[in-house]
Amino acid sequence: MRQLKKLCCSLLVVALLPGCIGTDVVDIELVDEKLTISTRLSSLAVGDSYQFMADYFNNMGEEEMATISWASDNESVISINDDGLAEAHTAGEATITAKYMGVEDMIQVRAGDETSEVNVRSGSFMGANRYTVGGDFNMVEEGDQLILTFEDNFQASSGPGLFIYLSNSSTSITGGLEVGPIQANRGRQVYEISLDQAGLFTYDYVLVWCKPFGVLFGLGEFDN
Amino acid sequence: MMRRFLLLTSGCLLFHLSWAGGGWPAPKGGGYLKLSEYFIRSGSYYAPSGEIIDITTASIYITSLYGEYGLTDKLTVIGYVPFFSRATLNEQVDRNGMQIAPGDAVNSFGDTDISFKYGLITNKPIVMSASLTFGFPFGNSQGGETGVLQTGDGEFNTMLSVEVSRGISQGKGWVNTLLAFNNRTNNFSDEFRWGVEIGHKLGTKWSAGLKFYSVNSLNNGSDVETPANGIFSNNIEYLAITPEINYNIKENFGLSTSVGFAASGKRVLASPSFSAGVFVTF
Repeated sequence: MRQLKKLCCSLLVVALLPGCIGTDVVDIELVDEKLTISTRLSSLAVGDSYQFMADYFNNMGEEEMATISWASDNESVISINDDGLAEAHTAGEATITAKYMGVEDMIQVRAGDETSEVNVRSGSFMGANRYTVGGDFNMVEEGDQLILTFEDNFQASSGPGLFIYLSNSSTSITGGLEVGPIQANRGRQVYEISLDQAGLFTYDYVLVWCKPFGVLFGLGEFDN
Repeated sequence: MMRRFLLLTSGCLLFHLSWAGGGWPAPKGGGYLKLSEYFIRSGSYYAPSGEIIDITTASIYITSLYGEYGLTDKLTVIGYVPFFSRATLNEQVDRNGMQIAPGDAVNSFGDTDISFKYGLITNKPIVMSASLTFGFPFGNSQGGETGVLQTGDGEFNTMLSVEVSRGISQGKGWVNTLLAFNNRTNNFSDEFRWGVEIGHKLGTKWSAGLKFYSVNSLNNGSDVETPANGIFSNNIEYLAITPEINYNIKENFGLSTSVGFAASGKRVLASPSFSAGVFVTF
């Protein structure tokens, strides 16, 4: 019986030894370099000019200063100078392209009667890793803020420490912006983001991310 | 290769332990008691898709008492009491040593089970018993500073199981089989479970066993509505393969060790689990 007691005590002592909190060294997941035209038009009134701007993000997802080159595929309709200042000359359509170091972004702009900026983006969620995430969302620019709204049909699996991120990767939060903890697992919810942190076209994806375990629950890509 | 192997969470551990008697109920006044330490530590996870993905390293340590006692020759009461459960989550730092997220830990009592096993066929070469298990959510389903660590899943469950066993090799070996239905509450999915165990004595002091245990979700719950917020809570599935070795130091007590591996899984850690214990029969 003494032997049994000793064994039990030894087991309990050994049991207490390994339970320390360890440290994980996390490698940053590289993302594709990205150039995004951050001021967008659907149409430009003939005779008007418009200042286009673009942001460059390196493969760490960090914004970097860059000297952008601009081009129009139809200079007779819309011309654009080296600084991104465009001018509409006659009715028609032109594709405006921004380029830097092998990455580019382009938009189709119509020259017509009015100047119309794109100020809303929308998309739909889908689950990742077979977690349930679904519903629609949109993001608009209001004053000095971006308003990210999940519609009534939004739903997401319960999960530990779920956060909402804006990211340029569909699988990673590298270089992304942490919007905040998820407000609810279903239903309409609104998140406010300062324009100092991101522009309407800075990021392409909205991620539902389990922050403590680093697991992607779902994602939505902006349709426009 | 290690990534092919799995986690066994606390619930899984229970059902491994609950096999101690197989289809044989304990004799009246007789029983079995085991003090165990179980642990798993993993930075890999079987996602709901079945794929193994990297996660922040998580650990679970459970110190438990498991006991069987024969109330009559046919009715056995079984208890599994994880009186100390610890779950940890590693700190995350980048290559420069800058902290990305702090580590976390929780210590608590764990989810506890009480079972009643009744011998349906006891005096034939093939024996059969039925068990009713009540799972009490005494663990912490939202523990630690982050509130994301778990020593329990936060739901009460009731499991009905049938075990059929047979002695082989002139009583030196045994084969146990198990079928079970686990009814879970709070929008957790119910589960169908099955298991097969084969074991044999090796001389007078040693014995070895190999267990196969499968948990299958009926997917009739709701991920969106479950109150517990663990990634290991709902719709867990796995096929565990667990070799076990026992050594009888004396006639009535000994040591037991096992390692749990998984051939497949969903929503479970993807690393081997280890268990060691001291058992007494009386």
